[in-house]
Amino acid sequence: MKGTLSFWGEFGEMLKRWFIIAMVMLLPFAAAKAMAEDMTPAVVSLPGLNLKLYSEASRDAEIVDTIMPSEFPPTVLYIDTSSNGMHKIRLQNYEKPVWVKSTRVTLPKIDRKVEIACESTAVAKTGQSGKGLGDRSTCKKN
Amino acid sequence: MKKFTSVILLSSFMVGCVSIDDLPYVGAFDQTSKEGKFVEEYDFTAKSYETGDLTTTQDTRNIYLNSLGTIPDDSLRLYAQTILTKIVENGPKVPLQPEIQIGANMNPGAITVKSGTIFLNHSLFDYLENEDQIAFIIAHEYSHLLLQHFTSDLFTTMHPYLVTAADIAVGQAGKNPHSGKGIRLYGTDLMARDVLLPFWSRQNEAEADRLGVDLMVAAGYNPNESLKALTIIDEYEKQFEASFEVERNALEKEILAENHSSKNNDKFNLVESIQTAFKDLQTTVAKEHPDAQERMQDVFEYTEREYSEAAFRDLTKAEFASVVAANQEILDKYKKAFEIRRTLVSEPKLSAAQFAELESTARWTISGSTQNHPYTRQTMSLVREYKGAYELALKNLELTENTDGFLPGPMEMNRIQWLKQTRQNEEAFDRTKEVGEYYDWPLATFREAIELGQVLGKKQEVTGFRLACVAKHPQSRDLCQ
Repeated sequence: MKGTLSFWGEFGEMLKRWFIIAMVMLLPFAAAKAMAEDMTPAVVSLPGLNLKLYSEASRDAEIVDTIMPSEFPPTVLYIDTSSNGMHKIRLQNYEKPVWVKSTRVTLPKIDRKVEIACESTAVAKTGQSGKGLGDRSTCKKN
Repeated sequence: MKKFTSVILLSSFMVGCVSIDDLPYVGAFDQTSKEGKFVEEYDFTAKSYETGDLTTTQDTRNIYLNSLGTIPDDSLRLYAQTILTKIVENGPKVPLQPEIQIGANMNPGAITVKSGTIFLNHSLFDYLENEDQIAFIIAHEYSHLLLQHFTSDLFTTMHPYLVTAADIAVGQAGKNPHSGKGIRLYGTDLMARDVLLPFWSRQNEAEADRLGVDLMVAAGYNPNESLKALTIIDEYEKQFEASFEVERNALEKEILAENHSSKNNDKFNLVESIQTAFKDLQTTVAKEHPDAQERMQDVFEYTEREYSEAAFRDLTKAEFASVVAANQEILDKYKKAFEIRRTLVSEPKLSAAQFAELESTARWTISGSTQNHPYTRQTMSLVREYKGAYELALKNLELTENTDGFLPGPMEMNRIQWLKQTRQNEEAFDRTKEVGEYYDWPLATFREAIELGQVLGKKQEVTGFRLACVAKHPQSRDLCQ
């Protein structure tokens, strides 16, 4: 009985090791898949002018890189939008997320999702946003 | 018919052929490319801000004559006025006290008149996203006032022709509600936009863009949003243009068909002279007028160069969103009214079910807060006209908020046509004279007065109108007969 238990114990250990190795190997693929699912289309305006990538959304921000719009990927991972209208996004080949001006990089799916703070007496009806033809906005009560 | 054809042809050149986006880029100009902030370089003291004999009343009346009216509700206007006040107070000290009016038009645009009124089209509140963006539009328009951009020879030359075109076309379209698609374009948002659209040269626009950015920054806004505002306006303007494409094509065909049958009898050779004039116009526009991309690039480079820090300012979103939300019902009703107007132009034969739905929606647009708005009431009256219910169409005009007892020009021309349709020729004649007097006798009112005077046997008055018409509209004298 002891020997049998030892066999199963060793086998179990081996299975556990393989499982961990498999997980470690699959993790990048899973992350990539999750990232791909959250990717959103991006459109860069003024194709003839360089695009600056910033480290943060403030005037003290460092310029991480300057690229041509043609080098910018068609989809990006959207993270956030700052109060001054900059988008925080993740790009391949960049270790950290970068910030871009939303005036240069438009994220059609994100930019149209308008959330507004408004008076409790002035709740916009869903589907009657007025934010462009066919778009919708929501009215968040404070 | 030949006279009508000539005028329509003229309009088609404006609305269909002068496509700004197709024009070649002819390079930047020197005047505004140098470094430094425009507002600091420019000598405002050298400008005279006198408007001479021109009064605000006269100036704005010229707009009402060709527009679809303003929004009587004050909420949007007062909000835009506070933005303008902030811009004026932080701008150059000059003797100007500009005011805002909110015009009804689905085209995302704005017009500024010399006496100091800035007309913002209501749809800007539909399309723009925050206060910074609308601040740029207002600052840009105010810049035209500050820089006194009102002497464009080209526009001054062209404008009487366009107004003439609109005058005749609106009157003619009202005579036959089932006329061709193209002819039914008149009295629409597109026609109003085209007639009122100011023409600025490349240099004028670039100066107003740069000064607009300076002024919005001085008022505390984020200059980056100037680029966003231009991008949004360009996008929706293209949609607006595209939505009328079918009717424009139909218009060209209708013109060609009519022109073919009447050209040989055109003793004034008006058609050919207009064609030549507009070819010249297109050449000049190609040289002078900037396209949207060019403006965007210039604004972006200017902002990057002069306002790199201000470009990180927080955006003013909450108040804009709150004002838009508070006016959402009005904006929604105007959007529906626009769709109804589009349907009436594009669908000459609606099924009973389609019409019932349209009528029901039109009723909704004149309910509650918009019950007396010119834009929504005119829409309802056009629905009534569609079914030949002219009495009801007239009733809707009577329920419309007016200025000094008068409605916007296209609505008054509709009224005259509908009075005639209901055999009230004396009333139509009297109203034509009142409208002519109020709007300083546009050509269409002379034509109506002459026609009605003839029907009513008022020979002496008809002779008087003919002489006055030729004196006031010498370029269109053949239309005064």
